[in-house]
Amino acid sequence: MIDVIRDKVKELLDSGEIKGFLGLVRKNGHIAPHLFQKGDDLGAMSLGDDKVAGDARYPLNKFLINLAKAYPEETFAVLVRGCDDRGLQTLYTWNQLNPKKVVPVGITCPQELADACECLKPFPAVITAGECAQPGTPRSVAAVDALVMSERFSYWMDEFVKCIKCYGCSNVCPMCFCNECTLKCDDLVKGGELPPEIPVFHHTRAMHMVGRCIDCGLCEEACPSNIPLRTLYKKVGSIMEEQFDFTTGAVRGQRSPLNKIDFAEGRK
Amino acid sequence: MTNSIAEFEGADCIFIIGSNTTVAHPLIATRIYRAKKNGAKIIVADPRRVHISEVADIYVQQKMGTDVALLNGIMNVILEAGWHDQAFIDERTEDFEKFRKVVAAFPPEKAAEVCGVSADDIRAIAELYGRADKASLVYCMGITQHTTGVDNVKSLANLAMLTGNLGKESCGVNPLRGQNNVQGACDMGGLPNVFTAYQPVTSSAAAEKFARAWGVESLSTTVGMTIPAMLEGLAGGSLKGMFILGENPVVSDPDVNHVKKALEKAELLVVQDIFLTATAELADVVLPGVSFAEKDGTFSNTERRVSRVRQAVTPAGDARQDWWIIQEISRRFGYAMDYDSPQAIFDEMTSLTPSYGGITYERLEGDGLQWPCPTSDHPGTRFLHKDKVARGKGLFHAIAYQPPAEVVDAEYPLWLSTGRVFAHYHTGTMTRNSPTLDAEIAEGFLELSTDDASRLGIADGDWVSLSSRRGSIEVRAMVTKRISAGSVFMPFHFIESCANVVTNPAHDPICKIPELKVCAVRVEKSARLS
Amino acid sequence: MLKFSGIDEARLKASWVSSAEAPELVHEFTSFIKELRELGPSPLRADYRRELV
Ligand code: SF4
Ligand code: SF4
Repeated sequence: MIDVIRDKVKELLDSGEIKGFLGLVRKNGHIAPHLFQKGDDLGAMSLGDDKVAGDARYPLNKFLINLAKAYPEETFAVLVRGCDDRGLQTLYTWNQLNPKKVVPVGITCPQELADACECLKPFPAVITAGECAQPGTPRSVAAVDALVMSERFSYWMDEFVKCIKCYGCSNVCPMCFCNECTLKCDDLVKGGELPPEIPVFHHTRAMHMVGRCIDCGLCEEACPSNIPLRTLYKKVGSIMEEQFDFTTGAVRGQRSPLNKIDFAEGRK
Repeated sequence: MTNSIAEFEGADCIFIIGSNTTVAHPLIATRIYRAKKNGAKIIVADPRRVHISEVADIYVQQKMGTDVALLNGIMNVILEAGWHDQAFIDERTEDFEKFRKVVAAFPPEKAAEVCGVSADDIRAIAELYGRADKASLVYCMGITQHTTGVDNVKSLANLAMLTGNLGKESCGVNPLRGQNNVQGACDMGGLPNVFTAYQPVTSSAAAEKFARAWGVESLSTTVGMTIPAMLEGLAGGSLKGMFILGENPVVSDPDVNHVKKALEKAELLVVQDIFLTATAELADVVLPGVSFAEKDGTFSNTERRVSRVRQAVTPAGDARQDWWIIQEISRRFGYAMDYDSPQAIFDEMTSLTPSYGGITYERLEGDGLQWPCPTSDHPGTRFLHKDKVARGKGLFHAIAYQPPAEVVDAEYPLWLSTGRVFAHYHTGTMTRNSPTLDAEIAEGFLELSTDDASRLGIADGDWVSLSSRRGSIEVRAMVTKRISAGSVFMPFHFIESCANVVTNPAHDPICKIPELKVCAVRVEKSARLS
Repeated sequence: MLKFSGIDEARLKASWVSSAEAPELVHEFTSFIKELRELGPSPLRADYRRELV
């Protein structure tokens, strides 16, 4: 798979179509984000699989936003999996990226990763390399739904109480792009406390994931307290599906129905 | 740490004492959380109900400075119940009898009187820790920053040896070292009595070895001065100058009024740092060093892991690499150090340091290596004292409880402890310059129990004055149930309300660590309006 | 989301009241307060963690 990607990137760079390719590199024994430019050695390129598939992923789209801001005239290619693709569509919709300036280089995820992620679409719309895996089966949300109310409450409170307020979940989130963050607003979540006010801190973030979360799971991977954040946000996603038939990032230009109401009222 | 960070995940029991783990060492807390998920029992003992106690199976609130009493009580129960590991004691340790006598005379009821933890809780801890297959001890400055710091640590070593929890995976005695490279600074001989990797300066063999390597005739075999001795020297005039690198003693050392007076007496004070700290403001010369992101080299962390750090950004302004500054000063003093890179210095160091002997920059790619790593084919060492205790036999110490240097009285009726908050590191030189962290916690506070607060007529947010025999400061009160009646707590990051004006410089007779974790104070409502 | 977190949904209420409908607003408040009283103390309040601070 990686050879196909290398060839594709070389072709894009050589043709001058793109200024650079934002992908991953294996360097000094670690996998890290890297901008490959014309003439660079593509031999050290990585697709983000270190010990197991997809264990060295990064929010490349988030870095792409910064790149695009710094070089608005340039076109960049970016490595995308299924979730990154959902992310790109949403970022286009929210005018954070210009689709004319982005060339996605798509890879599929293997079945084991799709199963681990419980991913409903483990491949991007345009695939440069790889075979499509079957969607993973949802389990984690159902496991919590199976608990009685009091158990659910203590399950989540026991998880939330471990939070060390490192903001890792929002710092790593490819969809967190607000200039001002509600989590840092003293009136909503009082600053300086450990754990931060629970469950308010985590619920506030969950509410902000409506129409934003593309279920990439990086938050849960980043969380040093091992809080099952992905399950929480998967629930947010499933409510949107059931109530509004809306999947974040499925269709470019489709805003979350909660925002649409605003437009209909003409209040923006 | 005798063991490795990842090994916590496999422990059956983790006993955390004097460590605010989630605040000061969050990634160790990650492993403890995972251990808990894997079924480990967690015990937390701390005079303050610290955040990690939220996941504890047993939490106890011992009185400040009574750790030896608590530990002796626990060991008494373990011995009585026969949960100790006699085979380990016979084979791998010595001086057990003397120790046994002291502990046998200290039943949990007696311990309870001293440390304020009920005899039942002491028994419960003894049972959880004593009967666990793999039990791990975690401690931090709550154990060490006492006049009995060395006693406290030895008591923990006693506990681990008594139960055979040493030299095996997921066990051991695990002090959490500060920041990313405090272990490295000590390994490199940043102590008055040792060369690299704890080779004593008093050893003529070591001194000769280093003299040969550095091309000089001889090196001094006299132990250097500790910080308290240096400050005394400055105050008394026997010491004329001081060169401080990356430290801010005007905020971090006990009894800072005294520290300031001493530093002001210096004929020459040179400070090397990345920001103009309060200490740098007193300096005659300030040398701009570099931050972690601007330098190349290695860090050695709390689990003895040596890893590479690589320069990511060019140093700001006139800042220079720290090693380059030292080299230039040495050259101008007439001894021409001539290294061309941190790697050249590292290579020389490893050639003189047996436990680092097998480490090279090439081998550090990826996850790094844990010392001891004596040869180039040695894989590094995950846990120490395997099969045999490093010194030959593990030495039991018979340790009796001793109270702190300063105890409460009618004039100063409250116990004060100092510590950290999650948003800041040490004197805040770095963290208080970060807008996000500063927004989290912008000023100091004094944690006061609800009981004491109502007795003193103090409400949450009121200004109070906090005084000890050393001095007095003004700070806002935070009324909380985190701390028990009779005790108060204050973070020391904030120079505007500098906790170390009041702390006690009395120090441990052996290692000279100051008693920052306990002293006697008085709290009064301040005239200042809230 | 509240239900998913084990918190009774009846503890949250959203109603649309115009600024011109003061009696409505009062009614909403009093009835909601009554409902909440019937539900008893919130599990969040009983939680010992909150009492720490
Ligand atoms: S969520 Fe997981 S399986 Fe789905 S596309 Fe992303 S990495 Fe692949
Ligand atoms: S990453 Fe985890 S610990 Fe950090 S703020 Fe988010 S939920 Fe809390």
